[in-house]
Amino acid sequence: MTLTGARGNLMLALGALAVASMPLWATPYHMQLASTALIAAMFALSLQVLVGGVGLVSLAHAGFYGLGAYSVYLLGLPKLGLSVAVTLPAAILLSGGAALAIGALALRTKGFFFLMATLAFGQMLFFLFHDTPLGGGADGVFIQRPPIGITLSRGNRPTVLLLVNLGTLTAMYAALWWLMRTLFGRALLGIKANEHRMAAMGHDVQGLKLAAFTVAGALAGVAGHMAALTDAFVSPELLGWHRSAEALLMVLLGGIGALHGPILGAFALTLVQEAGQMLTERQRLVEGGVILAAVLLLRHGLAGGRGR
Amino acid sequence: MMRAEGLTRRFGGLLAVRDVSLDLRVGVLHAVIGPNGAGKSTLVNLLSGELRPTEGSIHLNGADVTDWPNWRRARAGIGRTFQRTNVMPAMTVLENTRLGAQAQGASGLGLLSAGRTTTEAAARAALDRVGLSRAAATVAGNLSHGEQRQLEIAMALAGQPTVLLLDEPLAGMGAEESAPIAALLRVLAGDHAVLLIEHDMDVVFAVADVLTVMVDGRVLEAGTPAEIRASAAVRDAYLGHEA
Repeated sequence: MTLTGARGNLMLALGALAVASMPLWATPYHMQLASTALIAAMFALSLQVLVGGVGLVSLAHAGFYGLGAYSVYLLGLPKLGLSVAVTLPAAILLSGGAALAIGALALRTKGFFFLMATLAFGQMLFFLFHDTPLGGGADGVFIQRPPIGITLSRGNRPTVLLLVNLGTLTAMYAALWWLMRTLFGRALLGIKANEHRMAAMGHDVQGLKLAAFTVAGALAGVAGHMAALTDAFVSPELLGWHRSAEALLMVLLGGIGALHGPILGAFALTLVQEAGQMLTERQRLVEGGVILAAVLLLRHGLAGGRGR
Repeated sequence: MMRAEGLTRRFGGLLAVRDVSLDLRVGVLHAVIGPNGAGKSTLVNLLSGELRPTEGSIHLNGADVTDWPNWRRARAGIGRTFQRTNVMPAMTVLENTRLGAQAQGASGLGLLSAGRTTTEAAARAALDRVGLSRAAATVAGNLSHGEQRQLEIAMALAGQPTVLLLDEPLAGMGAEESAPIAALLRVLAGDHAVLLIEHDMDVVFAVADVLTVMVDGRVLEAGTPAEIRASAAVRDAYLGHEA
C-alpha cells in the first residue's frame, strides 16, 4: 500500500468540500444518502488497516461494526443523559476489546484458516444479537440518539448528521494517515510484504498483527457508532458476514494499494446501489456487473495506486 | 558469546542435523562447509530460531535461548541472511534496511513516536558498510543479483547484531562481484561473531579462522583451515572431489 500523496489528499479535500456544501444545494434525501456513504467509507477505511496495511482479510469486521452500533443501545447511556462524549469512547472500547480477544485467537491461524476463523467468530457475534434477548430482538430496535451538543429537529437533522459524519471520517482518515507513517505503520507494511523476513529481523509479527486487528476493530466500532447515531436504529444485520464482504468489496473496488482507496470504493458502491435501485428491481445484478467490470478493468482500483 | 551443544533436528525419519556443537565468538569467522544436504542450512535455522532443535541447547551470552522464537533471538543480537534473497521487493533499499534497524530500535508505544531519524542513521551506516549507499533510493526488486545479496547483509547488519549467521552470501555471484564481499566478511568478523556457510572453497579458506566440516548432518572434522586441509577424513569425504 502506498501512502496517499499531496495530490491524492488535495482531491480528497475537494471531495470533502463538495460534501460539506451539500446543505446549500442538495435535498435532505441526498444528504442522508451521503451520510450513508460516509459511514460506509469509515467502515471500509477501518478494514483497510488490515487488508492494505498488514495483508489480512477478515470476515469478522462487521461484528466490531455492529458492536459499536449496539453499544449505544446496550449501555443505555443516552437514557442516562450521556452524550457522544461518552458513547463514542464506549463504542471504541467495546469493539476494540472484542477485536483484541477475537484477534488473539484467530491470529493463531493463517491464510484460508484465518479467513474461516474470522467468519466463525463474526457469525458468533451475529447470532448473539440475533438469537438472544441481549440485543432487543432479531428485527432490530429503535434507539435514542445520544446528544451531540446541537438540538436535532426534523429540519436540521440531515445537515447536522452529514457534517458530523464528514468530520468523523476526516478525523479517522487523518489519524490513519499519521499512523501508517509511524514506525508501527511501516512495520505493518513490512509484514504485508514479507512476514517471514520481518520476524527474522526481530519484529514481533504476532504482536503487531494483533495491534493492527485491535485498531481496525476499534475504528469499525466508531463507524458502527456513527451508523447508530445517524439511523437511530440498530439490527443484528449490522453484524452479519455479508456486511464484512461488502466492506471488502469497497476496499477492492477503491484499491488496496492506496490508503484512501476504500473511501472512493464506498462512495462508488453506494452510488451504484442507489442507481441500481432507481433503474431496476434487479439491483444486485447491476451491482455485481459493475464490480466485476471494475475489478477486471481497474487492476489497482479507483485510486489507481500501485498494488503490492 | 553463542554456544550450541548437541544440536539434533529430526524431520520425520530423516536426521538433518545430529549432535552438532559449536562456539561462535566475536572476532572469529567460523565457516561451515559440506556437500549439499549435509544439514548446513538446517543448522543456521536452528541457531536463528526458525526451527527448534529436537535435542540440544543454544546459549547466547549465557542465557538459554533454545526455546526462543526467531524474532526474540534477533532482538537479542543474532542477525542472519538467507540463502535465497529474502527482501521486500516493492520497497526501496533504504526502507528494507530501515526495517532491519527498526526492530531493535523501538517496541510497544515507542513505535508511535517518530524516531525515524535514528533508525535511518543505522540503516544508512549498514548500507555504507556493504557498499550499497548509492542504491539507497532504488526499489529492491530492481537491483542486480549481486546487489540483492549485498542488501541481504545490510538488512542483517542494520539491527546491529553481535552474531551474524550468513547462509551462502556469495551464492550466484561472479568472481568480480564476490571479491569485495569476501573482503567485507573479513572486516565484519572484526566486530561480530560470524558463522559463514559457503560453497566457494577459495573464499572459505581465504577468510575463515575456524572450519567445521559437516557430512550427513554430523560434524566430520573441526579445526583451523590448515588442519582441515591436512585431514585425510575430510579429503576422502568431501574436498577430494575438488582438490
